[in-house]
This record gives sequence, structure tokens and C-alpha cells, in this order.
Amino acid sequence: MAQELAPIAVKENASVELLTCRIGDQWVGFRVQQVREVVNRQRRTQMPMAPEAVAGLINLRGKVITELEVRRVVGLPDRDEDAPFHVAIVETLSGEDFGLIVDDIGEVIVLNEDLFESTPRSLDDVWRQVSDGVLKQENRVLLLMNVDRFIGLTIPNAAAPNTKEITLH
Amino acid sequence: MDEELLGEFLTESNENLDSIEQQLMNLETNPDDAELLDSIFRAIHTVKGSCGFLNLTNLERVAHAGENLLSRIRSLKFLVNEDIVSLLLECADAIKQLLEGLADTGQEPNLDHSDLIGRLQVCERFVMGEDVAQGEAPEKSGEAELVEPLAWLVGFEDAVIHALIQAEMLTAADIISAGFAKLKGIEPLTSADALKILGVAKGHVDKPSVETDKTEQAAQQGQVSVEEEPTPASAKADKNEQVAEVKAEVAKPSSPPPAAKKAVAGNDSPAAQQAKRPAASNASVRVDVGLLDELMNQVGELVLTRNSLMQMISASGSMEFMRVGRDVDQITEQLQEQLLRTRMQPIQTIWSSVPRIVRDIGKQLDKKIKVIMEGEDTELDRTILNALKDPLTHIIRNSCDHGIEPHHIRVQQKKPVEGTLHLSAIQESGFILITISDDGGGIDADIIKEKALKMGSLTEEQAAVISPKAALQLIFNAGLSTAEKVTNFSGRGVGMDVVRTEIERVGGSVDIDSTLGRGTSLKIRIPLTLAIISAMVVGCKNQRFAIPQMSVRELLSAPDSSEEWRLIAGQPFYRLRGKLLPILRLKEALLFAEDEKPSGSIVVADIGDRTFGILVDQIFGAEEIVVKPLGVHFQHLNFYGGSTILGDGVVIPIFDCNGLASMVKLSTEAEVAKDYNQGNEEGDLGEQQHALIFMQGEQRFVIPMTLVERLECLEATRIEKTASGEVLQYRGEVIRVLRWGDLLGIGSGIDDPTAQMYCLILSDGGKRMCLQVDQVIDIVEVSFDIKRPSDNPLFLGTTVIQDIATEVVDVFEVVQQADPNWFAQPNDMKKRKILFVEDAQFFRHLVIPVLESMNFSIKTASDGVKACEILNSYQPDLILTDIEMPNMNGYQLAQWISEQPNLQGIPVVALTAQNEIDDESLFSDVISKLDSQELAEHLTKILQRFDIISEQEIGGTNHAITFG
Repeated sequence: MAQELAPIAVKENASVELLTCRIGDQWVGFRVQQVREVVNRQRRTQMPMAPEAVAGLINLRGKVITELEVRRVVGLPDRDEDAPFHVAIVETLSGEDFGLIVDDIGEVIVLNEDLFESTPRSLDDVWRQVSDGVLKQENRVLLLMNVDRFIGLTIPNAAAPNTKEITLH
Repeated sequence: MDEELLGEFLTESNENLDSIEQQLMNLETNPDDAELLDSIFRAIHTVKGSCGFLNLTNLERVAHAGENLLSRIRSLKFLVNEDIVSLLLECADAIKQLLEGLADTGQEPNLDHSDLIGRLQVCERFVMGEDVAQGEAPEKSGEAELVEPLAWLVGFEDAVIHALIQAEMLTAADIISAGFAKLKGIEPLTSADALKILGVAKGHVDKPSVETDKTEQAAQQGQVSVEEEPTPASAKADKNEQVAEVKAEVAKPSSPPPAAKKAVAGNDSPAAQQAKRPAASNASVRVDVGLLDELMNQVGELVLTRNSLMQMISASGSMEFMRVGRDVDQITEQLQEQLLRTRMQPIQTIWSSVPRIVRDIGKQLDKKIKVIMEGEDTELDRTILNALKDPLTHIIRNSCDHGIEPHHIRVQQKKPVEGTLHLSAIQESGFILITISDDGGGIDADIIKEKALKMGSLTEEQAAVISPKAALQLIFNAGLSTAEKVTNFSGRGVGMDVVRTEIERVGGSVDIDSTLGRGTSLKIRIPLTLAIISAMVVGCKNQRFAIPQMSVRELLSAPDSSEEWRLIAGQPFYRLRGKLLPILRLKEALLFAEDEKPSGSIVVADIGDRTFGILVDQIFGAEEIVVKPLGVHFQHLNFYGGSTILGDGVVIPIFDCNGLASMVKLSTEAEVAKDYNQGNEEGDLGEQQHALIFMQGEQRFVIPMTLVERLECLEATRIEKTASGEVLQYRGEVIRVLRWGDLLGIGSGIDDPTAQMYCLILSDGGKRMCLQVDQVIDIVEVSFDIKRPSDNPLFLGTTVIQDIATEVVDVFEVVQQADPNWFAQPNDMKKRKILFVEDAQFFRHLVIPVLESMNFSIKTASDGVKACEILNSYQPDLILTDIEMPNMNGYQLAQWISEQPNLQGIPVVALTAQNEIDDESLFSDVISKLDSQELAEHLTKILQRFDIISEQEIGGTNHAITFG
């Protein structure tokens, strides 16, 4: 099911390759280096008492990955039961991979990083927290997503120290 | 330095030294064991030999000094004493320390061991002196000189000897070949010294040539002393081949031919390996642990893939596929098993240090302690072994330090003077059970209890009912164990919480048991391996979960029709072999559904100090699962232990039973259940009453349990609004809801409609009412000692419970305000006396509130004999008795009562959990111990019946039932 991302030959200084995704009406860009792959609907296991942002766990070729519902984090209503969606498997600085559920996947674009402007104040609060900048395009505003900060938002009691270690390997 | 070579050296040296402590200690007990001494000598000797090769001078000096001493002991057949063994142990420690430093940094650590070396040398001379004094054959020293040549340099200062050793001039031959010029150049040797030394050396070399013949003869007879020699000689070889050859002539006629020595000098050639190591070790290969871990992961994946493959194959129905599938299945299984074995190490690897620890502590505290070990070859995953090391050491230290009593006390107690520490490890279906027991003074549970009370980790109520065994487990509580006092009084203590944490971290559990004066034993249960565990797969609301088999004790089928279900204050319990098991309703706990009649299957989980049941819908069976860690989003949910992927590819969560246990509500009651058969008390309860403490906002209230029938935790939406106020549908009735916050005029405090709400179901005379409160804190037994009366009619006044001022709710007033007609019906059951005979404290706690709610004056007795005593001076209106009791059972009691003239006509009612009883005729009635409601109804009926009978029969003369 994996939709392979075409490798892009253009490599300029200060250029970024972004995978664009849509959540509600908002288009966001993930840095391609952070996106492992994009998959479609997987069999999902809901986890009782999990934080709200967690949609469940999926089995990605033997790896257990936490799926996060981006819509819930940014305060959008849940999508319809049978509405299509995609899951971008992203990797974070901590080394853990997450599946981010998005409504649609766009193209991979190569841009000069200088083109990005700082995030405007008018943007929704959650979006602003996870944005590294915006790019105003003809008919849309593309938001450069900071994946690590996004994940940070979804973790309950992020401030509280990790009381429990991962003990089982 | 050649890294690879160094690695080889470290591994080999550590292997050699691993056993040395044990051997030294054995030597202490059997100082005349020549073979043992040889083996110790060889270990040190090999280290020393390799040192020269790798140019590790510090290490060489320490090893050399140790070797010399050992050689002396060996050659003189000197019988070692404790002090010499201590010194040698110290030497071994120093070597290990140097090796560790070397392993960490790749460089020889700069540690000064000259003091130790000095002492070793002094000791060596002492051994020699002793020997000479004893007049033993002095010519033997010649043999020893083969190993310790500088010993013949008598009359020189230690500094000179040191300098020579430093300069690697260890034999007369070394010195001769170095020559005068070189000798003179060594600090602090003067020219005179150099000349003298050279002279002595030359004179010395002549002597050994005679010795050589001797040795040669000995060698031909297969003598041992030759065997040790090759290594230092060959090690030296790379330094100076010429020297090596001289040495070969001098010291070692039977050493390998020069060709082999050259090979050694030329570093790591196979020939050198062969020469250095015994043939047996060639059969094994050293593999990086990281690689094994990686392999393990891969096999884990393979197991999962195999599982899905097998499902697909069996769905295909093709015989051909099935055959191949079976093969794949078997091969995978074997692969997994064998790979697991590669990670396994015998527990011996961590136990080997135990005798040393025990010996050291014993010496320090002047205690004699012997260690008995059983099952040392039991194998465990190395990760787990590593994790166990520290807790184990800690436990053992505690046992020696605080457990085993000092000499004089042991003598006083007529125990053997030598204490015993017993370690055993056995494999038990996928788990290892490690027991560490001592025959020391044991731990006083009462002191632990006292301490826990002071620390606030135990309430008075809990303390009263907790069993000694359960109290002992408190030692694992953090606050408690770090308290010094516990250590002083009872032994164990410091850091026991860490012990438990460490053990639980690798999925194990620990349990303590102790008999005062007899000893203490700790049981550690630990899984064989962490990567793949056996788990019970259960179902709950269309979802599957895994419960580690480690914690599963048994499985029960418990349909809602089962007679073993009990509901106590809304919390389900299941009667299992006479004990009440607190039940965690998985469905409810995980917010799947609310309060339903409990039904399904129960997984009985045992987590060391506690047993509870997990109620699930379905049990699918046991499966081998590969544990995968859960992500960062689940770290705060301590009831999850990980996840796994089942054969059909679905991810399921794995529970952590320790976490689940903390979700069991009303653990006070659970404790009571645990102590069902323990802790008897009897006598007049006086003013003591059961009461429920709850909070409304920041305020604390207490309400007598008299009218409280049940405690419910409901969703806020369950309360419906009607024209006449709020109501709740409850057990097929519509009952009035009162909100305590509204009554107080401070609001209900509930905004979230999905929030859970605590509701006290008040019941009296068949009527019910619901009182909603913010939060329920506890159920306690208190005497309502009103300190300050209240102006507010809702309160009786203020009392002090658990050192906190608490308002006592006048429940009658509350009910009356809501429903003035509530108490309208005549209540004529006041102030009647009842004797309640029951051995199980749990049931006493259960029944007494019911009796209190019926306004009885209650006396209790814990068995028939006690009841008889009470009845000699007390005439109750009703006797309620259990049947199964110690000392005198219900039948005997009833028989006895029927024979007492002054007790004629008093109804004796049996309260029993049995369905049928043997001799019903002895009793006025039989009530089953089911729920409190039934009990109340039955008692009311019986009283009514007997009231009538008594009036008709005797007209109130013989046994007047007084109406209050």
C-alpha cells in the first residue's frame, strides 16, 4: 500500500523538500527527510484510556506505531466513518515513529527555505504552535510543520517527568 | 595497543578471575587442597603472563606479587589462614579493578597499589620465615625461585627490588643479559648496587642449572610446576628473544620450541592462540551481545510472520502448503528456542559473588554465616540477570547484616552458631523462582505496621485488619524502607523499595515472608526472558488484550448466575475457596461500559502481595507473544506493559497487572477480604460505628453507614430531571436524587455530563433515596464523639476522624427534609440486643453495619466458646451465629443454648454461606450470607415472628423482648 515518494534530484542550498498534506482546509508541509512513507487505512487497535489525540495502534510490517489523529489535535470534528484518509509515517528526534492521520496527500515540492515567512498571528493557535513558518501560494497558505513540536502537543502531562520506563523489549 | 588483542586479554582474564574468589574461599576452608591452590595460582599467573605481553606494568606488578606469594605457599605447602586469604582476595580485587579500568578506557588506569604489593611481599616473607622456623627443607626454596627469582636478592632495599621489577628484570638471567651499564642506569641503583646485584645474579644462575635437571626429571614424570611456566616465558619472548632463549634454558627445559615462541612474539597468529589457550575453548566463539539482541528482534518478527503465514495456510486448505507450513513452523520454533538459549546464562554468574559478600560482611560483623546454593545452573536471560544483580546483593547484605543475629543471641536462642543463608533457583513453567532465606531473627510485622501507621502509608482501619504477611510486604514501600528505625528494630529496610522496583522493571515480582525468631525468606519470581513471553489472551467488548502468564494464577468461569458473586458497597467480589477475591471489571475500568451485573470469566492475578480477579468477557487462550514497547503516549498509563502483534496481524495491548491492581476500587475492603480468616476481635463495639467519609468541594463530611445501602459510581447523565425534581432509575425503581452540594447551598460541582458521580444509595424500610456527593474517601469505623454541636440541622456536629475535623451528617434529618414521610411507619425495633457470633472478621464488618442500621445494640463473639462466656452474663433478644467456626461451631453453640434454662426462647438464627445445613432443627431460622438487603429483610421478618410468638406463649415473662 505504501505510496513511494519519488526521489527528487534537485538539491540546492537552503532548499527544502516538502510533502504536502491537507487537514481540513489547511495545507501543511512535512520535511521529506522526516517522512518514512505514506500508507492508507490500516487495521487499527483502539487503546482504552489513551490520550485524545491517539487514534490507536497499527501494525506496520511488524512494527507497532501510534496513530495520531491530527484533526483532533487542531480541534476539527472527526471525519465520517468511511471518509478516506492517509497516514504519514513520520520519524521524530526521539527515534519513535508516529502515524499522522491526514485527509489528503498532495505533491512533493522543492522550495527555497527563504521563501517561508514567519507564522502570522492570525493563524489558529494550535497551528501556530506547530508551525515553523508559512508559504503563501496562489490559492493557499502552506504551513511548514514542525513534527516534533506537534507530537509534543499530543503527549499528556508533557511537563511531568516520565515516571515509568519502557521496561519490556 | 592492539584493541582486538586487548579485548581477548580482558575476556580471558575475567574468565580466569571469575572463579578465583570462590576458590580462595574454598582454600580458606581446605588449606591443604593442592589442586585448588594450583588452579588459583594458574589464574593469577596467566594474567601476569599476558601483562608483560601487553606492556601493562601496573597490572603486572600486582599480579606478580600475588603470584609470588601463591607460589611460595604452594612450594612450601604452607597452610593459609584467614588473613592471607583476605590479602589474596584483595589482590584479586586490585587486578579486577585494573582490568575494569582497562576495559573502560583502553588504558591501564593509574592506580597505586604499592601498599598492597608491599603487604604481599611481607606476607611472602612471613610464609618463608614461618617455614624456616618450622625447619622445613630449605632446599625447596630453589624450586620457588623459578617463579620468584628476585627473592634471592637479599640484603637490598625494597626500593631496589621494586626498581628491578619495574625494569622487567625478574630473573637472574634478565639481570645478566641487561648488563652492568643498564643496571646502573636504573633509579635508584648506585654503581655499587649494580655490581653487587650482577654478582649475586651470576652466582645464582649457576645454581639453577642443577635445579634444571631436577625440574626436567619432574617434568618427565608429568609434574605440574612446569605447566605454569610457558606463559610468562613466551610473554617475555617478544621483549627480547635472546632473553627468552636464555630463560628457556635456565628455567624451562620443557617449554615450547623456539618456533612456537616466535609465533607468540609475532602476535596473534593461530599458533600463539593454540599455545595460550586450552583446546576446549576453541569450540566457542565470542559474539557481540548487540548482535544477539538484533538477531533476537529479527526472530521475534519471524515468529509473528510465521503466525500469520500459518493462518493463511490453514485458510487455504491446501495439503501441500500445510506440509511446508509445518516445517516452517517447526524450524522457526527451534530457531527461536535456540537463539533464546544463546542469551541465557546460569544464575551462577551473579551468585558467584555471594559467598564473598557474605564472608566479608561476616568478618566485619563477627558472624559466622554459611551459604548454601541450589540450582546454580538455572539459566536466565542475561538482561534479566544483570537487572537482578543489585537487588540480590542488597537482599543478601540485609540478610547477613540484620537477619542473622550476632553470636551471643544465637547461642541464647539455642540456634547453631553458624547462620545459614540459603539461595535456591528453580524453573517453574516459564518462570524462575529464586528464594533467598536466612535462619535469622525474622521481622516483626507489628513493628512494620506501627511504622507504616506513623508514615501514613497505612490507616488505623487497615492496620487493624491487615494480616502479618500483608504487613510484611509494606517493607517494600518507599517511605518505610528508607526509615532508619525499621532497620534498627526489625532488620530489613533500606532500599527495599528499590529492590522491588528493579525486579518489577524486568517483569518480576517479589514477596517476603518471615517468622519472628525463625528467619526470613524472600521469593522472587521472574520471567525466563523478556523478549518473548507467554500471555493469556482475553477478550472484552470485541477487543483482545494480553495478560502476562507470569501474573496469572488461575482462570474461573463466573456467569452472573454464579452464587459466588458478592457486591459490597458496589464493588464486586467473588468467593473463591472461602476467600473473597476483589474483582476488577475490565469493561468498567477501561470505560467501555458502566455498572452491569458481573459476568464472564475471571483471570485470577497474583502480584506478590495481592491477589485480585480481572473480569473479562472471554478467554481465548495462552500464546507466546513478542513484547513490543508502547510509545510515549502511553507512558502515564501504568496498566499497560507493552503491545504485541497476534497471528492475524492485529496489535493488542499487554497489561501490567501491577498497574491493573491499582485500579481495583476500595482496596480497604480488599484488604479486609484478604484477611478474611485472620485477626479476630470480639467484645462490645460500644459506640463504634461504620461510617463513610466523603468530600464536597474542600469540605469533609462523615455519614453513618446506618442507612447507606450501596455506594454507586454513576455517569452524571443517569440522573434525570422530572417535574418533581431529579430522579435516578435504580434496580427497577425510580428513586429521588438529593445533591449534597445543593443541600449545603454550594452547588453540585458537576459540569461535565460524562463525569462519574458518587451516589450513596440510602435505604430504609424498603424505600430508597440517592444522595449524590463529590467524592468518596473511605469507609472507617469510628465512634461519633461529637466535639462541637452544630446549628445546622443537617449536622449532628463536628467530630475528629483521622486527625481531621469532620462534619457528621444527620442522615435522618437529611432524609426527612427530602421526604417527610420517610420514617412515618412505626419503627418498633429500637434498642434490641443482639449477639452476633462470627469468626470471620470480614463478615463481621459486612454484617454489623446492617445490624446497626436496624438499630440493634450489638455484642460480637468470634466463636462459640466466647459466645457462651458472653451469654453467661448477657441476655440478648436474638442470637445470630455463623456455623463454621473454630473451637465451638454453630451447632454446638445452639445445642448449648438450648440446654441453658435462662436462655430458653431466645431465637437462635444461623447465618451461613452454605446452601444446606446439617441440623436445621437447632435453629429458629437460617439466613444465607448473601447481600445486606436480604439479611435485613430476613431479620425483620424473624423478629416480627418471634415477637408474636413470645407474647402469645409466655406473655413476656421469661424472655421479655423489650421495645425501645
